Amino acid sequence: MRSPRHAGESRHPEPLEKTGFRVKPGMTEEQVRLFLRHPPPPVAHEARGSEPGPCHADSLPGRGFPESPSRGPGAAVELSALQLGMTFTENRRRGAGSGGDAGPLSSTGLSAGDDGCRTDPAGEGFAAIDPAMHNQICTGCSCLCDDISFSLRDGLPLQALNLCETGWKRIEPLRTAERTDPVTPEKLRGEIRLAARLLADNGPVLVLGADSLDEAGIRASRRLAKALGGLCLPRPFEAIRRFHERVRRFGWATALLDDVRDRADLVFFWRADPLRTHHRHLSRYSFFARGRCTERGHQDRKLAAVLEDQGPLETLCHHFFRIPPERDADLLDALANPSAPARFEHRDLPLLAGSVQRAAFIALFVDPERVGDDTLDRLFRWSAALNNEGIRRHVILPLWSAGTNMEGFCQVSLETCATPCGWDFSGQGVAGDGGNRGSEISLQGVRSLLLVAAGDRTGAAETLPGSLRDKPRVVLDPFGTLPLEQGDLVIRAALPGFECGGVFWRADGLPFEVPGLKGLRDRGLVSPETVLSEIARELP
Amino acid sequence: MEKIRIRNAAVYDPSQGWRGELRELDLANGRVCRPSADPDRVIDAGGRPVLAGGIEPCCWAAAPGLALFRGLAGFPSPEDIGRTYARLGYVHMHHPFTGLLTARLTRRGLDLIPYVDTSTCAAVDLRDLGPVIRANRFEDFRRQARGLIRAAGALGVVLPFPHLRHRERQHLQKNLSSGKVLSFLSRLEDPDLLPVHLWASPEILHQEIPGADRFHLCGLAAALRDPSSLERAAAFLDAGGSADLGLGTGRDELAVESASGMEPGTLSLDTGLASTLQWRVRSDPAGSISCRAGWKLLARAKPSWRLALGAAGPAGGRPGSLGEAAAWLLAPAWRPPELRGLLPGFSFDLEEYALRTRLQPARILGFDDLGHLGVGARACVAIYDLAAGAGGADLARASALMPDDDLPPGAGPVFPRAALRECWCLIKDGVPVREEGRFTGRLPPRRTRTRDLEANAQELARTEAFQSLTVRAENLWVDD
Repeated sequence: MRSPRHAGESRHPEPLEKTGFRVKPGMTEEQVRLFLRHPPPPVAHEARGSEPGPCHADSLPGRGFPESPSRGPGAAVELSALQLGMTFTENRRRGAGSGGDAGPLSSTGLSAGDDGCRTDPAGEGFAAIDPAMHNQICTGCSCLCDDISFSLRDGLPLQALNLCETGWKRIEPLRTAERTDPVTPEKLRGEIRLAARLLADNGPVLVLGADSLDEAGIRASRRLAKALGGLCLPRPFEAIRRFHERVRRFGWATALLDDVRDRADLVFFWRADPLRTHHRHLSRYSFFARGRCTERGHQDRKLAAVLEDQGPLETLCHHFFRIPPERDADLLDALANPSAPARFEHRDLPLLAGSVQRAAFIALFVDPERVGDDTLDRLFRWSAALNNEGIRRHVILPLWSAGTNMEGFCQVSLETCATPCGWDFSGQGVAGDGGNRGSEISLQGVRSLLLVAAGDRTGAAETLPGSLRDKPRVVLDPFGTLPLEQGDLVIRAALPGFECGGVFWRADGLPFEVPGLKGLRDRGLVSPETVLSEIARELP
Repeated sequence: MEKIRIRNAAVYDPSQGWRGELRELDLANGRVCRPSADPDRVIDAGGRPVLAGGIEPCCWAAAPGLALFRGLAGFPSPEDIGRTYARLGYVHMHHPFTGLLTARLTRRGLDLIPYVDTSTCAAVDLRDLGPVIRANRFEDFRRQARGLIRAAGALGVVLPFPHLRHRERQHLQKNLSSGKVLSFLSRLEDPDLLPVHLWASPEILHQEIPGADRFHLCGLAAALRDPSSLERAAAFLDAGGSADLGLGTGRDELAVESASGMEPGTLSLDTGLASTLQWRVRSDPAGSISCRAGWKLLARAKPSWRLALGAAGPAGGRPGSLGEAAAWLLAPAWRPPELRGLLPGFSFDLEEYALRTRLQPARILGFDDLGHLGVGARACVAIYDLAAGAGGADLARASALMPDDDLPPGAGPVFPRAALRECWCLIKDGVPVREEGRFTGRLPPRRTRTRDLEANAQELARTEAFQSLTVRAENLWVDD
């Protein structure tokens, strides 16, 4: 069933009015293309000492951010569209001022312009894109944007519309013709047999990182761990345990992202930076997006953030706190008790306290991996206190930087063992009880590892906890980017969400059926679920 | 599928006027059929009571957040829910409602429940359908509500919150009073949308509900918080309305309420509806007002009342709690001290049990082929062993302690306490699921039932919901 028009960002306000990045009715295609090729001169914030991360929007050549003379509503509009992870199509819709559109693409033949990743080197237009490639769901992060359009050439992704930097990095491996060595069924079978022997000889086994797989892959990971009498944990298992321990202790008020979009008039990012991990979060859900009670989008909202370093988010924020994690507690105390003598001083604090007082719906996004126990305690207490006042609504949503299907992992884990932390079949009661009792999850007894790579170098030894680095390791690498010497055995697999379909869960816990991209080059790769199931079958 | 004959069956079926007379039941092709000459298999019920498979009218089994709540409060897993209902002799379970945004999540949760069929209703959000109600546009409402049922894969529509109140001054003109909404719904003429389910609350009970026969109150027991609400509920049922009622047994249960406050162990969720839903564990002792109210209402039940008994407790959050309550219903000796003296002269027999737990729920949910054992009905049969167990001596002791005024004349049969908690045999759609008190290991076919009606989900495109979705609509629709 197809909707007659796009239902997502078509109602976004024009956030970029001061940049001139706006397609107005009557503008010619050439005028727009010219602007995209030559954006306003950037004033890179690297000059102020920032070091963007690998997924940072600013890491691309030709990118930069205008220096903001002052924070506030005006500053919120000084980023270019590409820096915000938005692409031409969105802005074209806004410029046209329509409540909807006839489809994500038209015959304008425009591409994402100066974005190094998304530029069409041949200058080809999107008019030639196979219609079946429209409205795809991106599994690059847990935003699950469902308005992505791809064009393929010879089975390789050539162009993409609406795809943010995070998503593009995820499919980057698919763009190279020599993604992996040819994988023949015989070779794959041999690798699977080797892996089964290695894991069976070195129990208990830890299956780590299934949170980046689709739901079927997660269930297959669980089955394998069960067959091996081992553990199956998500990568940030310790943070999940700590977060859910607070949920149990204090109660939890949370919301769908649709409610955030509809109602949130104060959006808080606490140690979570969407411009690094979830590029389109601001535009689709939390800040720029228009909702029922936020009809003017970002003009009806205040944006606040607490981060350790500077970043592009600062220029958008009405209230920005660049403070070390040790000062979180003081800031939260000051917010929870505005009338108490302040131990925390910051120029934005009185303004933020005022925004909290005026807000009817506060959405706080936190990356539990980046906050300590004390901060989590105070966040949940503050949330409970505000909700019990009965005047305003305060919701907390975790924004995990790891694992694109983290919510799916937690859901499957909760359904099967009543804890979101994963499964422990080793008989030691380590992971399964961790979520309930709040005890530390110990990995001391683990003797080997099956690691699911999640892109970049997440399968590499240096990314693992110290106690796991020297263990025999089988790496399931859907990206094909990990050097083979990084594991005792590296098995290539299809990339979930792109090369094979599956069920992925959005950051707020809604499941979506992702069909995968049709027409990609067949490289002989099978889905991670198949690989994991085959390993389980080959166990002696 | 094998042909099964159940002989020596004391069949209770109010729709057929069967009151426990011994007869034979023939099942073939998943249906109750006329007697045939060559059954593949004969099950001797040995004079045990035989009822149609039970139907749960209200159980929160697949809502968003339930999986999390399982970790917090020990809510059963989908597998456990299915087994609990099969053990109880049930074949269908109805989840109260789902919003449009969470329809797929709910469907997924329902599909994970084995043994029993499932269904749900689609919640009418007054923020979306309010404009057509305000303007009395019945035809538009009809089309949009049908579209909503289609999109959410539901049986019907439910109004979880009867009014719409905006806090924001600029939206005040969109507010709707419950009187206006109920008046509008009472004038609906589309039989496919009736009865409109209302999520029972003290507030709605104190409203004047015009055209009561067009409404169903789900989760009624949770709304009976004072004597006046009890009277209002009785008046609603007298006027031809229908309701489902869970009976409290004093044990903890999961409660779902419309509240936004926070306590340790609570889960407060905004699920895309106009109000916040709060999950918490509620402890109502057997002697508490809220626990006794349901029993009081049941004691006043008239044969004409369209009242179904829920098996999941007053708040619909404890699957299978009717197993305990059934013993209290059918054998007064088992009633706890808190309920004694509360139900003078109240008798409840298996015929009444079959009416309230089979026939009435089936009629309320619109199932012609469930809830009875007439020819053509689905072959869903539960057999109970009222003589099983060693309850006799305990029962005699309990009877001796019981005040005389609680015993109706000829107090009727006495049952072991667990008699209705675990069925002796359950056949669902012709597949024996339990035999001789044990699971057979066979999984019957199951499905999530939806209303088969002519509707177009695209009708929702005119609503505000469609305008502000965060995803493409086709990624939300439930595909059958």
